[in-house]
Amino acid sequence: MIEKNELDFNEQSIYDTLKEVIDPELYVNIMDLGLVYAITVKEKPVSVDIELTLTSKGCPMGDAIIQDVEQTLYRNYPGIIVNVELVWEPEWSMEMVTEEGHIALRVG
Amino acid sequence: MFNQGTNNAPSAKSVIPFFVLSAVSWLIAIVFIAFHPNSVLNAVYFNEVMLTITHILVLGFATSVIFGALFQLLPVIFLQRIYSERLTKAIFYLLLSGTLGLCLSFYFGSNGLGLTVFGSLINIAVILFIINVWKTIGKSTENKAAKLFIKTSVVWLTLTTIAGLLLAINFLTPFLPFVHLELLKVHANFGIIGWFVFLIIAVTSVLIPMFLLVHNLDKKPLYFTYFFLLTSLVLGGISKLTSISTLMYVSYGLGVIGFIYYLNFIYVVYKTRPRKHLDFGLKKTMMAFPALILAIISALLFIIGVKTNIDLSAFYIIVLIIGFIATLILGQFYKTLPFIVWLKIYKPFVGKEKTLLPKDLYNYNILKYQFYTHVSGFILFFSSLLLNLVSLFYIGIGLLMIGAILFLINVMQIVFHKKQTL
Repeated sequence: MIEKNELDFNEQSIYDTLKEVIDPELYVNIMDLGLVYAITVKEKPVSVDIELTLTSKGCPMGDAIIQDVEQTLYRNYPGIIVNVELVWEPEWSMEMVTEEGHIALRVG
Repeated sequence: MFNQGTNNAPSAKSVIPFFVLSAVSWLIAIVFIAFHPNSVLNAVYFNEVMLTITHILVLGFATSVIFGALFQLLPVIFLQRIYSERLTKAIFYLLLSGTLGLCLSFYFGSNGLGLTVFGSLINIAVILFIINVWKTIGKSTENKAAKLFIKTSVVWLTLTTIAGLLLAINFLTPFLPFVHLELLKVHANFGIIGWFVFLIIAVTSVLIPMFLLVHNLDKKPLYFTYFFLLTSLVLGGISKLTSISTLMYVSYGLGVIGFIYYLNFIYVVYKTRPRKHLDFGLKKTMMAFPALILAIISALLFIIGVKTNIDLSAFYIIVLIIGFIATLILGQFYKTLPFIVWLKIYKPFVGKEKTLLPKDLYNYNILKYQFYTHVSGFILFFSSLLLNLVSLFYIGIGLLMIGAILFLINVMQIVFHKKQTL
């Protein structure tokens, strides 16, 4: 277990770190795809709650993406507790994709 | 945390053999076609060579990969664990031995005993397949239209293989009270439309919108497709067994309407897709649909009685198998096999270290050239059939063969991939 002041992180740094997680089919990171609905950092114990969705229910890569989120955060913030919750409401749509994500999906 | 789609999938080693058998069979079928131009060009469709080639294609190439892909995709589409992995393995060995024996029996003089024995193995494989599919998707409430198509397709598969076995037994001991060629036509029609087309519609109606990121689609066109194709098949079967030719034309007409509804569904998906850039796997998948339009045109020309160098009803079947079904399968190979192998090799390392992506498991340039040779090959091949031009036939089949070799190289590269560290 670690104390929050031992690490220099907040929602924004978690957001930036999760840009390392790439959707294996679309080759676009999950933040630009708009798959992360919420990032909540808690102090006691030091943990981060992630609300994550997938582009479609039963996406065959879903389990790998969730694992990627967890392991990427463990690797970047050793000792942190990560809780990833898979959510389906609201349903994912292209409106959640960032401008960079739109460009990546257009040009491949 | 979990995702049912991935966790419910069977192990990679139980589905990969289906893909390997399929890729090898595709090349063998193309080589057989290249070495027997007269059997193909002379429009004698029920000779031993054509029966051999057809069964390599429909069993070794198409049914094999469909079985393997379905065992992988059913958990994804219906969020259910596959009923039995042991059945999956048994089905592979039965399909492999049945297909090999059946094709050899056809090639070496339609040996009645061989056809009966190996046809029986295929029938057992199909029964086990049906048990595995129905038990897997039975309780699911997801993707109702796809579920309807899949359940119906396995019923047609059963009828197809039973009809095939009856024909084999009739070779051994003639017992059919009517001309066996009529049952052969029913067998072919049920297999190609009832089994392959129904199943492909089911899978593509889920996967293509998923890959192209299209949501909230109107599923009504799929139900219209179902109604018209099902009615077409039933009437087609009745017309063959009763020799009422009017029914056959009605059957073709209804089939065309059914295909148009399906094409319209795919067109809406394609036009409204947010994912504008398509990789070559998806491009190849989408190339199957112009081939389906060609099949529809040939069916329409057949209905209005246009005469060509080739029997248009036979041409329609060839375009459906090599143009539509094969092109779609070859494209979707790249959307299934690399992911299955990638999950097996790299999932334990995801997030812990930088890993390759599924697309890195094969050579993209090879896929690109496979796409070009396959598309140009089938255009020239179909033209050679329509124009009865032997030289064009060799160029077309040569290109298809190069495409099949490139395809096999990529498939083997994926299957034998060893973990790499970036």
